[in-house]
Amino acid sequence: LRGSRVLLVGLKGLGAEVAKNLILAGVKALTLLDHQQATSEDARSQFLIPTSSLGRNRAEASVERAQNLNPMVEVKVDTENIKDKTQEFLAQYDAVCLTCCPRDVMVRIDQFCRSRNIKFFAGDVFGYHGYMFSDLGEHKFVEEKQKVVKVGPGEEDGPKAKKVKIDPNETTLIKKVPECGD
Amino acid sequence: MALVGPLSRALSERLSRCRLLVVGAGGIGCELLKNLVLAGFRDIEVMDLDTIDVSNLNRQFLFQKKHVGKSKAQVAKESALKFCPEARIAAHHDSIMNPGYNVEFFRQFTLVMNALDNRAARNHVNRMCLAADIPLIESGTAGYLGQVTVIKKGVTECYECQPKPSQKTFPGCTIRNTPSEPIHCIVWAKYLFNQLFGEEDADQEVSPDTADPEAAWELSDAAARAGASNEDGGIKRISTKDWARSTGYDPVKIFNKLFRDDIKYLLTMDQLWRKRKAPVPLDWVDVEKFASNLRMHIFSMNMKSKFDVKSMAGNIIPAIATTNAVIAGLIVLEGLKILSGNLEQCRTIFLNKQPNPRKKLLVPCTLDPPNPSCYVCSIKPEVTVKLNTQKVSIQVLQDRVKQCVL
Repeated sequence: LRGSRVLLVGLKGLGAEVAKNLILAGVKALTLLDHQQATSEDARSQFLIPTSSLGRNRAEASVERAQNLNPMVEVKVDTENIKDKTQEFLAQYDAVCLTCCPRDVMVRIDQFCRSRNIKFFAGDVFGYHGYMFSDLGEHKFVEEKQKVVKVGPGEEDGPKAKKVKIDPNETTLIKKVPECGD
Repeated sequence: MALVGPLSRALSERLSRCRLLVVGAGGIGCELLKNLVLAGFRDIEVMDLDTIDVSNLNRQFLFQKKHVGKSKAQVAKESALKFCPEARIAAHHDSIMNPGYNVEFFRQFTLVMNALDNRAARNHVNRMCLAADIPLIESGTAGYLGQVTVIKKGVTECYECQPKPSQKTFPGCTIRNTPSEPIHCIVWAKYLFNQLFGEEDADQEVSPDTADPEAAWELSDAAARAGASNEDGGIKRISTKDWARSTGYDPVKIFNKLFRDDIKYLLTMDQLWRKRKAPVPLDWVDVEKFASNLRMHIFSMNMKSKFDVKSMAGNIIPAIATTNAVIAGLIVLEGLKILSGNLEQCRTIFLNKQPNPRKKLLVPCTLDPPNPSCYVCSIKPEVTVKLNTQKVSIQVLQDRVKQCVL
């Protein structure tokens, strides 16, 4: 987490929430990328943009409040359109998060990220509805499971000896690898 | 249909006229206040007795380092107003359990939303909202888990209709200043171990908490004291870890600080000991037992077996910012249902750590009707008391009930 460089595309309401959560978590660097200007609609959902900054580029308008959330994160601004960005540009990131992107752009960027094992996230909101998608490629993760306490070798054979006990106070972390379609 | 964002014009107008009380301006409270203001609520009162601590900054995003020591409610209000200057927000640096906040106070609100972290305050707000007949949205988080529910007198269960398991997380001032149960001491010992030998964590301080709201005669005192101890020019608090290292991890010095000098300091916060048994400092020559048992001894509690200690020490759950964010979002959605007159659509929603068999992380459940024999909300409240009729007379039972020592 502390060494990660993340690219966040789209600074509308959803982007602001993602930016807040990533910055509070404490990634190494977060680039805010957006080529559009703040509109009055943003005033209702984008708490990183001061109300006096309508008309300014959204990423630029968001950077001050974003940086104040956690001075230890390098918060950068990019005002270009994600469509025009090169593979070289994307390759510098450990994770990419796309919001407000058209489908063809998301597919193209996902293909590239997947080939370089860059973690890919995408999402958007529409009124009360929204979606999130992630493509994490090959990766390991841990899951917390209740620890199984096996009966010792000195116990007598019998129905009780065959029961495996679960210790409710102990959990253990198990490494897993996801299968496609999980 | 005319729309204001995703809301109907009628709902949007109702939101802007709705008087809202938000109890708590911490993890859930900050996210909630942001959501409310952006959703269109314009008349909000927010209350919190606490001041901002550096350990809050990783998730209570309305607060920055420069605000440490100040009132949470006040700073939350100022930060939220920046998103929405037209909103009317009143901040109370106070405890909701203060008798000044009576039924009449509660009746002025359309809706109450809890963003609390302790059982006592939740029980209290539950009872006040029942008495005033105001809908209450209750919520809580612990690590990755979270929950939101709606309480409406006569329609749903109240907060106390079902018995609840004992509280598992505790405010910092309980751990650092006024432990009263073995579990508080076990948590303290675990924090101590981490502070001395692990990574520094502002959420796991063990030294006396000067900003304890209860220690002050006036709540503004606590804020002033906390502010003073953060400024340069004298009382700058050094972290336990740095201090221990500076002594070369000298056991006598560390012991005397933790179990004698810090206790003596706590004793100067005399407000804390007006209704509690005061702690008794120890000296190095008394040492023989483990840290948690020592602390229990200081605070006059029963010792716990090694097995119990181990099992309790495992239950420490760190706070996670995004859990609070999700729950705060759900609180607003439930609020919109209530304001639209759709109480029957309200649900208890559980946020789980793992998806259920239907692959859902968020699981809604229909609200249960009130428990007919709930001792708080039913028309004929009932309590079951078991006692030995050979040993307890009716007079004694009556006296005990009157003294509230049942």
